[in-house]
Amino acid sequence: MRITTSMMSNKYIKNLNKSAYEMNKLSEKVDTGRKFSKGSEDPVSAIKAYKLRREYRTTMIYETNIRDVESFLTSAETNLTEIHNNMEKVYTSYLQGINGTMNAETRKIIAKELENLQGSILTSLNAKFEDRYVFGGTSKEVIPFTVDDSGNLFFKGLNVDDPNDKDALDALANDTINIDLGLGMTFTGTEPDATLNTDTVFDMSMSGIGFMGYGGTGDDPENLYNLIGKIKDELEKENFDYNEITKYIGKFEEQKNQVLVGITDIGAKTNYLDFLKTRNEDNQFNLNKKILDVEFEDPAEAIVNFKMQEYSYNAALSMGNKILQNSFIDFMK
Amino acid sequence: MLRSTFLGYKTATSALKVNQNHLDVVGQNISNINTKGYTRQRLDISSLSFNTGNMKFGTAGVIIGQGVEANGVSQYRDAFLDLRYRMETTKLGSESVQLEALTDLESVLDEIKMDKLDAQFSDLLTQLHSLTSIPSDPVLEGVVRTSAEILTQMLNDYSRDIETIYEQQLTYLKEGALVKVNQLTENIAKLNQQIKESNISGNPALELNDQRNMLIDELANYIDIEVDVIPLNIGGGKIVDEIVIRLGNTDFDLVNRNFSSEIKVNDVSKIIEINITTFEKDADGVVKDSDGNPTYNADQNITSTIKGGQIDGYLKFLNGKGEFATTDDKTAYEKVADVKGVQYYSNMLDTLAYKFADTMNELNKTANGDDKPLFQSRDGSDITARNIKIHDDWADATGSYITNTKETGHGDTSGAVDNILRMINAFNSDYEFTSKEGKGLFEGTFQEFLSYTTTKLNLQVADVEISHDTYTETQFHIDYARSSMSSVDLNEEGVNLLQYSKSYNAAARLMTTLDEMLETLINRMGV
Repeated sequence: MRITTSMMSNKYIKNLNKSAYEMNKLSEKVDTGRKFSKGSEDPVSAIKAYKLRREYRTTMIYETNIRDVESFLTSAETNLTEIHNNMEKVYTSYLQGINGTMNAETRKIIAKELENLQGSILTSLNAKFEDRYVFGGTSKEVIPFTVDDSGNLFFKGLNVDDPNDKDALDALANDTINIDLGLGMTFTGTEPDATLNTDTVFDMSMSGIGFMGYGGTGDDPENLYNLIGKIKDELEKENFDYNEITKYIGKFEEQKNQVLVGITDIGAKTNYLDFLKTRNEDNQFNLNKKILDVEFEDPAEAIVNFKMQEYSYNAALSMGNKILQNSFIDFMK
Repeated sequence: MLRSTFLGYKTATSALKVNQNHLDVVGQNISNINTKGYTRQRLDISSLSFNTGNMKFGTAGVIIGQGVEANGVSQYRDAFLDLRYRMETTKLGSESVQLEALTDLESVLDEIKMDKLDAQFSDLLTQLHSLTSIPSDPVLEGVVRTSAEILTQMLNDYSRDIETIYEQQLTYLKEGALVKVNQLTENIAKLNQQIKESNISGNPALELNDQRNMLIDELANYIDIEVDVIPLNIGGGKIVDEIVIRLGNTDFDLVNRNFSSEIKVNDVSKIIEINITTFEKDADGVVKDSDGNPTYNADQNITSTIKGGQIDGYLKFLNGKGEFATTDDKTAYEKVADVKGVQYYSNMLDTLAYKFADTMNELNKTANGDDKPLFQSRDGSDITARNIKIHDDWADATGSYITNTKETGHGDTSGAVDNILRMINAFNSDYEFTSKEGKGLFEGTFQEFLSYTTTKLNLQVADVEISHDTYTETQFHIDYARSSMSSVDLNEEGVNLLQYSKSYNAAARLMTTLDEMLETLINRMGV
């Protein structure tokens, strides 16, 4: 092939430009640490990167959610323990009250004490965590536990020991507050009739009437608060009858255990949360590692590559003078 | 045969003259070593003999030629290489326009380097999640609203950016490529006239040929062409070549001898069309021209017949609708469904915006099924990426607006979260995305659909980049081969310079020798 001066210089310029382009690309890799800075440079990795980023962001969400639920449960535990302590106090007071040596006056004092304990229990029942009633189910705006003039406990406006409201109370006791903690939340069916698969979410609700009891009658209450009320009433009576009071205390002791069950329940839930937390952290770590693999360059490798390219670029530059130097004309006499 | 006394002088003179011509051609070549489009020239010479044969008598003695003659100057050029070069240039033109435009588009959608729309979807999801710990909270709902608002604004921005790219490329087509094509064809037509006139008067007009070839090369970059060379007998045994340039595989003349057609853009609809104004021709394909003014035909639509060059690149980018093409679109532009251009991607975004808004609006219906839309369009038409915004009612809401529950429980249910979970679930649910015509596009989540769109573009850019590089490389090699034939080489010219100056000296020497011979013959003989 006939090679001419302009062909040589054109090819040289082309190759030099190619070399400079490569060098620019490699220096960008060193600067940014990225394997690619546009999707088109590596579409397959780009697809992976978008997916991994989304998954990573989701683990961040779960991290927050788990923390939130944890704080909520801690708050619930504190309040529930408080309630339990008050129950113990109620029992101690009761034992004092039924002591045969007590006269009506002292019994009244004990009754007053029980009334105060009732008050603190009510406060605990209406405890709030971040604007939400801890034991109030779905209540948020309206205070859930209230007491009427005759000292009966009401939950969301329903008398807890009114047999007529039993069905509504059943529903409320089973109210759930589900939260997505990365258990793979799914719904069955299509909107708008889709139903949540409850085993794929975490139920953080702690129903107050669940452990306090409900569904008795006015004379024969099931609820701890109402039972305390009854005991108090009995103690206040001038002609105190031991037999009358024992039927309430039996129920009281029975229901009091439910509070304890509630506390253990929280313990179990907290353990589960710890497990979820560790799992999520592992997930996050793995995703992070994958993102690094897919998107980011090993710095040492990037620098070595750049150096190699720089070397070949310099070699190309020094060749330039040699290629474009002499022609026959320079040797003509 | 009798030799005339001064015969040798004539021979020596011709040699001097031809070698002088040689040196002049070398001079021309060296002068133009860096001239773009210059084709290396050579002097065509032949040896000369004035002796004519005599049929009657045999020739006595030896017959010797009388020197050398220059017949003309010609070029080292290969028409086949020109053809191949132009073919590659045409392909390259189309790809380079698409590459540039698609890269622009990619910079809008791509979020490898910077978190954009996909991240914003995730942000909205994060805010919805935070609402599950404190539902119905006006402050937290405000955060959700802000996130949703940024999302709609991003969609608006994307759409506007895409629109800008569309307008930009349309301007490049109208005010760049088309104007250039019309200029080129006009100039080629003028050159045709000049070259023809020169040729008739015996001037090869090599430099004008170079110029014309360059213009044709350039024209090939804009539109696919076929060049016909038509010989014209001008009498006296002389033939000159005339040139007709047609749009590839058609009978539409862009240039017919000294006439050029005009092409224009018709952009009344969303499908850009290209029209051509040609002239009436006779049976031999010569333009009917009574008084220098040809009769023009009505405009003809050549949109679907353009198969290459920058104009093809623009058409593909501006018109390509992929799955969104309608039957009407196909009539206007054949390739509309086969290529994915700017309209495909903007339609994809619109589909996403519509589906997302529609789903969320449906989900935010109250427990009784009353509408409580979260998103709306600015102008009341169907929601698109361009016009989506958060609903006025939501924007103006002072209390809680997001439907937190669809259960009809007893009492205060403002702390329930079941419907927020539904909304969260909507981000993880697979939907079927279809075009307005009902053509299936994709099945997956909102964000997956977005990634699908982005990576589709990424892949397309990568694809075009590869063909662009391939054509560039091929073009370079053909040009290399062409240079090998046509470009000036200093070594060669140096050698020629030496050779011709030696030859010149030899011819001069011949003259001196002859002179000395005559000196001997005339002044010294018989003295």
